[in-house]
Amino acid sequence: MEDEQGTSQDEYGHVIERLRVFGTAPLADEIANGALGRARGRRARASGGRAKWIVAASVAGFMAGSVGLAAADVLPAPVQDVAQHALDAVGVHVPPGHQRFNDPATCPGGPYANHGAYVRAHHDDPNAGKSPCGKPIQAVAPGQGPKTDQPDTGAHGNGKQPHDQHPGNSNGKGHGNGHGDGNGSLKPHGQPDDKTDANPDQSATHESSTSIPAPPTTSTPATTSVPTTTTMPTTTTSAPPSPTP
Amino acid sequence: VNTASPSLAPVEVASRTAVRARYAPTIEDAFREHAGPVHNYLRAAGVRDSEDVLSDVFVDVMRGLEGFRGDRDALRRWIFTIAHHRVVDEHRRTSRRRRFLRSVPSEASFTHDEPIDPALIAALDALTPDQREVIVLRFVADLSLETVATLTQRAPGAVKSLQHRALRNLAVQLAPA
Repeated sequence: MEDEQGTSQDEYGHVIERLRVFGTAPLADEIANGALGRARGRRARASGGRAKWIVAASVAGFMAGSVGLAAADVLPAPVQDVAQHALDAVGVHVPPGHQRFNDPATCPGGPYANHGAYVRAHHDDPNAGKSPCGKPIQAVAPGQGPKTDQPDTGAHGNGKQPHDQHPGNSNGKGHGNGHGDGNGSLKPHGQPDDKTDANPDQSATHESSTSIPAPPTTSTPATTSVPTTTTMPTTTTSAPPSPTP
Repeated sequence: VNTASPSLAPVEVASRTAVRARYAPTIEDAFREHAGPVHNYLRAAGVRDSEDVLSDVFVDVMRGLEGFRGDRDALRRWIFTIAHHRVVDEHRRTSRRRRFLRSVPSEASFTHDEPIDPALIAALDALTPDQREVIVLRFVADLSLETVATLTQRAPGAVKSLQHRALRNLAVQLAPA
């Protein structure tokens, strides 16, 4: 006779009873004490081991990340300088944060780590403070320390180059108005054409005066057969059509 | 300002009492109540180093006891679920070791020094692994048919069938000569 739990009490009752007696046998004291003590010890070791592993992994990750960022030269310049000095001490060479002006002709006794080092080394010189020596190249005025004179010790993308040191920029757009794109028939005299913008000769001429933006041109054509008086292309689209003779 | 504590509504009092009465056993309570049955279950399941595995089971219980929610029966089911997983792991490990080192003797030869009922252990050794798993969970661990079905990932009918065959085999094994 089977009950709903599938137990055949009549046929195998003695076997089931024997199994249940086995299952309820008390645990010996020495086994109980030993097992609980071992469990507590393992738990403590597991917690301590996990904490150590987390700390070690964090430190390793931070170090790897820092060295990687320093090697990629993407840290801010002061931080990059610190990283460069620190890693240089352990034989890892990463680019410095600032490229310093250390022209041997201008800065005798160099190279200097910074401008303060130069001033301290030349405390007798009253003009030492005005010298560009030890300053970041980006901070050196164009007349004092041309960047092109410096030996190239690596690519340093920190900061912008001085505006007047851009290589030949053949694009004259943006300086003044009156390019008159797409409406050549209404282009006033004396205005640069799109074709002339790309002319290296004219761009070189244009480059020489890039420090001063070209004023907006307001010249009017000498022969005013067209009833427009402005050079803005937008106004030419709304200009009335030329009267037919 | 009236600083006297406001009187609690009956519902609030009842809910606080229920919270206070929630079953929250300590590890000592759980160990005192369940270590014996779990150890017996491990021995009946044929685990070679049952004391060591018992420690492992209660390490897992310590880890999860804070998050445990339930009554006394739920705690028992949970602890035996942990123990069952440990048994499965232990059997897998032993099986791998035996395949790797063919000289290692089978588990049966380690369990005949059973102090309580060596004949029963010998009879359990003679069952198939499936039958032994079901019969030990059902009657040594004293879990319900549904719980055993869930634990062993079998249909209740399959568990009932395995249980019946196991009981029949055990009866034959344990019959007086």
